[in-house]
Amino acid sequence: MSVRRPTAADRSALIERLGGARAVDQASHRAHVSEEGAEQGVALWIEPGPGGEPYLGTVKAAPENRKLFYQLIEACARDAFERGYARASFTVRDHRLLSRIQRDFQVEPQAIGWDAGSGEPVEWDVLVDLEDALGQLRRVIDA
Amino acid sequence: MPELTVQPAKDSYLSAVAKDTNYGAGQFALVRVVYAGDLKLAWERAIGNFDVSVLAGATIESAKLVRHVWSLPGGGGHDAIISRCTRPADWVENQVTWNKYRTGANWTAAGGDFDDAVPGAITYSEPTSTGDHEVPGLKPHVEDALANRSGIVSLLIRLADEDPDVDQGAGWRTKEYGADVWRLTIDYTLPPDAGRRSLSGSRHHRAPAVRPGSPVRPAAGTRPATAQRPSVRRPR
Repeated sequence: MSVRRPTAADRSALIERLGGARAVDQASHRAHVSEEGAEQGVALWIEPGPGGEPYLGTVKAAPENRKLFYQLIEACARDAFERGYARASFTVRDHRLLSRIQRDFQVEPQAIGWDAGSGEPVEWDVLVDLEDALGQLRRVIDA
Repeated sequence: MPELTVQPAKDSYLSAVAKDTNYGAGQFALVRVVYAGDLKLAWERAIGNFDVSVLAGATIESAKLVRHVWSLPGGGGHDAIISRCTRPADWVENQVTWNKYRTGANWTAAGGDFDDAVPGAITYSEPTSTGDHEVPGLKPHVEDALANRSGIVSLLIRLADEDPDVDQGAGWRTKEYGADVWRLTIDYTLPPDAGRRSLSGSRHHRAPAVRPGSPVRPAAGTRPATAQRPSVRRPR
């Protein structure tokens, strides 16, 4: 299974999968879809405005298809890297997902949000070097 | 003319996509909406308190908000609104969220309680490039704070259009960042009978020196301590 940039033929499926046309029509939003189409999987990264860094917006793939999940992320990372960015970030709001990411990758999440009652971290920003991330992603996908 | 620069005594942002999460120890404030399809990936408002009580008795000539803008999702140029938060003393920096101003106490309206009438809200355009950005016209907010709010200028900032259909926003540095902190800069004059009175004798503290090379981000999993006292640079 591979991942590609969407074509005009993917538009309807892409809009349906992402819930609206905004992500398709904004030039700063760059989607990647499964070779079989957006129904199988889609990921979106956001090209930053001044001062920002590329941001992984969303990844949608069947939970059991971890390989496709990471291939979609890899496609976004490669696209950002080829467009001249050295670093990118994404946000995690699920501790279990964070643990899974930390099992598969060497990353350094930074707590940026806390539970207002307990003070425990509940939101993390993960800033990655894209070249390093691409290497790590390839090893996990090939494993 | 003497000038007073006041850094926030407390600051944070409120997130409508994580309504019970607190960002008070974060190093950036955000006012933005970012989409992925119909879903808003981000929707935030900034909040901050500035203690100008040291200026009691002074005549306020002008006041501006200065932010070091570091990020402009969508490219900037959009409008945002500065309003007076109506719970200046109530909201707690390490507890405030979109839903609550402190643990167990909901805002009257989710997203923070504010008044756009007294003093009048300020609509301004975000810049299109990063760096220091000034919003003039906060003199009424400072005068109102001195007259009616125990000297606390409490600001809540939001996008003028929070359903813009395209990404919009700005991020700037909070007091936790340690440098380029957002601030109020106030030109004032003292009354002729002020005699030897000097603001240098106030209870406020000088802004802490910035340590070169200080970490940009807190260590993972830690919640940096947040100072509760305002940092005031004495008039030059």
